[in-house]
Amino acid sequence: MNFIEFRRALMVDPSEARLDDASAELGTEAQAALRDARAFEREMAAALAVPVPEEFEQRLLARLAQEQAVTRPRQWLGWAAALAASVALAAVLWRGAAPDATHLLMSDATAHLSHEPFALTRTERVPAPLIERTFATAGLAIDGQRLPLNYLSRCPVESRIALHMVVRQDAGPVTALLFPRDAKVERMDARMDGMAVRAVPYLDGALVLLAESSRDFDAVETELHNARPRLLAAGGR
Amino acid sequence: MSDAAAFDAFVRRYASDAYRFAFWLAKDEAVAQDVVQEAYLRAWRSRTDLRDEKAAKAWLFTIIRREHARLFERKVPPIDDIQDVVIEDDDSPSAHAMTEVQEMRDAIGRIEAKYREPLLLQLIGGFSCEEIAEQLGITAQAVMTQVFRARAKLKALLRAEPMGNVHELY
Repeated sequence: MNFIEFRRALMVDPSEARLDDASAELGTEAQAALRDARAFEREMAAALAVPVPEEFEQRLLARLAQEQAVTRPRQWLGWAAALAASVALAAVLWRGAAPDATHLLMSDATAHLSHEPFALTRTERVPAPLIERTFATAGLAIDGQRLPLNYLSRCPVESRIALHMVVRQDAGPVTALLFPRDAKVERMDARMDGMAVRAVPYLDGALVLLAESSRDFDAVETELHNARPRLLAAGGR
Repeated sequence: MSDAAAFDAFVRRYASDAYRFAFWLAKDEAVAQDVVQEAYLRAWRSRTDLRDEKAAKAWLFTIIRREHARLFERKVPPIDDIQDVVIEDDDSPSAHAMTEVQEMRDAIGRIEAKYREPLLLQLIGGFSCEEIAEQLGITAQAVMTQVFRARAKLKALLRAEPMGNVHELY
């Protein structure tokens, strides 16, 4: 790919994985252009993610329940199987196999990103005491000084509560969703909805990393390990 | 799993993206809610039409587009200038960041629909250019041109980058 083709590709879909390698081959100007293009994509995504009206989903389901009550129910197993699979649709498309716990968690994590677009735009460091207090509410102890975060919150992700973290790296922000307990995964890398996603067994649960490129995933994993989070005893805070 | 339970899972999975897509088509919160509700009702009634479960989201978005077009044909609702639509965000980190977001929203609302719609399908729907082409009934090359121009127009509005410096696909 030459530079002109590269610049055109940036304007069509900057999230394409092939652009990472292309920019590395083309040099620093291309890498800067890729960073700029992806930063613009993040700004667009944040703007497009307008708030969904409160209880919109509940109203939809209630209206559908009325409709379903007056139409004759049909047991169409093919449709039921298709919709059950749609919950982990991204994972099914990537692997072409039946969804499993790892794929489901990665898919849920990917879907969660759209709920908090501003998380990717923060530049200030989260103070160490706040990191320690927030981790403590999740039953974890950590040395906050060892973890350079730009965003931290506790978030519901489907049926679980996760620590939602963002770490700014050279290639852009990396989101880390930490499920400290009750999430069994296999180590896995994938692309979902145009993003690089990595699932890693972590503590008694899982860590899911998400970014436009997986280039900094190893570095973020190392930073988290170096911060040495540990599970507090039950009831500990 | 019953039909209804499976369909509820389908609603939960895509309701937020469906609303946001409809909002940017209609540029009106109330219209967007109506469009999505009608789209889901139509999807429920014609659920046996879905042959390929992998295309569920694309199928839903196609129904939303058609429902929005149908609504527009029945009546022309007052189209608010996007700048007059106040979008309350509870999670705004700073006044500066909110201004940038609102500027981007204004710019997205100002570009022509023929460029905005493929961009919405790409960024909210997460569809590839080939999938967008299938939904819109145009070639993939045409989709690439439209999303290219959408980005170029946005940058021209926000960064005063002259459109003339942008290389065209052809």
